[in-house]
Amino acid sequence: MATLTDRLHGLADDAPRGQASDADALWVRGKRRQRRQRTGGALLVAMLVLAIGSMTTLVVDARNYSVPVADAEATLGLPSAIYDPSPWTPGTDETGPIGPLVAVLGGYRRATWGGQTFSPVGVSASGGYAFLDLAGLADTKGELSGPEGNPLVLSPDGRWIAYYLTGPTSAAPYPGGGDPVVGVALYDTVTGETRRQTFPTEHGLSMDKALTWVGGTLLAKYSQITSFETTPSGGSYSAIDASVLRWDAASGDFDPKADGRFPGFDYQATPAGDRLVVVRKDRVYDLMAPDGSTDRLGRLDVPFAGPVFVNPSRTLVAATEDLDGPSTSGLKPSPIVVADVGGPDAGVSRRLEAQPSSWVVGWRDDRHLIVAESPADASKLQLYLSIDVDTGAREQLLELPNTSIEIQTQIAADALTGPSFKAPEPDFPGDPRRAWGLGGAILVLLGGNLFWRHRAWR
Amino acid sequence: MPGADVDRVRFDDFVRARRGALLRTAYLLTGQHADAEDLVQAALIKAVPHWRKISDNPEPYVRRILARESVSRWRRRRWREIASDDLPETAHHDPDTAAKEDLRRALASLAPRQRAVIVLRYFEDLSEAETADALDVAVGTVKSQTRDALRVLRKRMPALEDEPIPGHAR
Repeated sequence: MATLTDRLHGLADDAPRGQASDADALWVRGKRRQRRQRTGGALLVAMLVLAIGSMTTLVVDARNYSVPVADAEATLGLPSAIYDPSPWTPGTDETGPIGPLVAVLGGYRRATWGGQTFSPVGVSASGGYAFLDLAGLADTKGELSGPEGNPLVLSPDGRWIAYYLTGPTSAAPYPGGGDPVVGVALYDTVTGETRRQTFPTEHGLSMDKALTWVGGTLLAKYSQITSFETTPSGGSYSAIDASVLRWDAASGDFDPKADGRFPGFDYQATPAGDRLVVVRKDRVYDLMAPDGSTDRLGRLDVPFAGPVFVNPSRTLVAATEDLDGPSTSGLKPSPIVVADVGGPDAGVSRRLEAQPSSWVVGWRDDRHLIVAESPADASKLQLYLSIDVDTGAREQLLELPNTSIEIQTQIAADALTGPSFKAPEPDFPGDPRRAWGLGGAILVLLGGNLFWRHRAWR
Repeated sequence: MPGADVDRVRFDDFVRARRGALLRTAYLLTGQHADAEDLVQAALIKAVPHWRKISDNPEPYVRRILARESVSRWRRRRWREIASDDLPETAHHDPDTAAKEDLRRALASLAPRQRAVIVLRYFEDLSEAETADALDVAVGTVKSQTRDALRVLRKRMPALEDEPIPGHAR
């Protein structure tokens, strides 16, 4: 009986004979196929080179964003724009100190494999951006909201950043205000050094007034939280021993109880930073110098809300009129008023033409007031405008992202009076994960190519 | 003579000498004259780019392409064609022709890899390891495919009842 092998050989006898003469054609077609393979391979290599080059560019772009260090002695200028930084902008732990800052703002920061956090960003006088790695910076959860609510403040000369310091308390910390505050720290933007002043505390400190710069002197009112209670809707606490601390950044002189020379209540620095506005009673204000001496007494003929802004020669003041009166706020538009400090018309206010929602930032010079506006057609931007108080002429000075509650945008007071300069958007670093993604794609491409070649060889 | 010309002459010699043998294998793998010629052409064309490396002993390489191509071609073509188990009826003039037709039908009913395994093992007389290498599969796969294929063949061709099935004591 025939085996399977026999039967297969028998069936194979029916195979076609073929034509030996077409060997040449087969050779030509094989060579053509070889050329196509080589061309395809070269194309693939070119694509890989291109992709690797792009990846390298992305990696370099993401990792080698260099932050220019500003000259510590240079005069601060006013940039034409402040930008929302990239979340991948490096921090000062990585870059080192970047020199005096013209601005501090808040920005979202991302770690390569982590989530995002809202962190302070410094803008150096030379236009470099870096996240500020401030050791022990208290997260106050926006509890210090309002005009004085910043957990950190920039000195008028841009050299120092003062911030609330968090740390351990000897008893349970008051839970209602974010991290417990136990002191104050000064970060030197030129040397990178951080100085700290802490107070022994059971439950944390109550920082009723935010940190305030008067020239190169830091002031802050604080008290000890003695007890607290929490309720489902929040909590409350009792505090005693209200004091004002005074810290001279240049000399390092620190006075934890400077109450004798500074008022315990109702003081506020002008954004120009060189004087303290002390509102004695309705419509009446004093100007207090960093040494505690009172320079001048003034009075406006209208009620005003918030700080009074005095021009450099102290001949004019500007304020926001309070049409609602002291008992309510925010219901009516708040016009900006200007008044002479002395002379026959002292205190006689005149309204400035500005948007109802605008507010005073400071003085550019003796006759030009800086006013902030939020344009209706660009809700994510703020504009700083210079308004001539005599003619009403307006000029745009600065465009900046809208401020946040947690970390409000601050411009160094000296920069407000410094020369303007054009500030193009920096070449912020891109997302380094794009490089990883591209790398993965290249590997897949490479693997696919190898697989294909392996199959072709078969 | 330049190297390229030598290669071409050797290729020409190989095709002239071995084309018939390759067609026999290809015919068993495909069951159709036209498909067998296509398969041999494709294998030879694929061998050309590597000819310089294989020219000393090209046959194993070409046969490997032949076997693998028969399987992969079927994979590609099955989306375009509707396979039929039933071949066209042909007149049986004598017992030999009838037996061949039975075998052809039985082979056609096998999956391409099973058919390739049967052809390599029982026609090319390759060992299980050589068959596994030729098809780029594991030896265990060769064994199982052979077993399954023989079961189908025996069912369709009772005359093969005595053909031993690997791994089964008879």
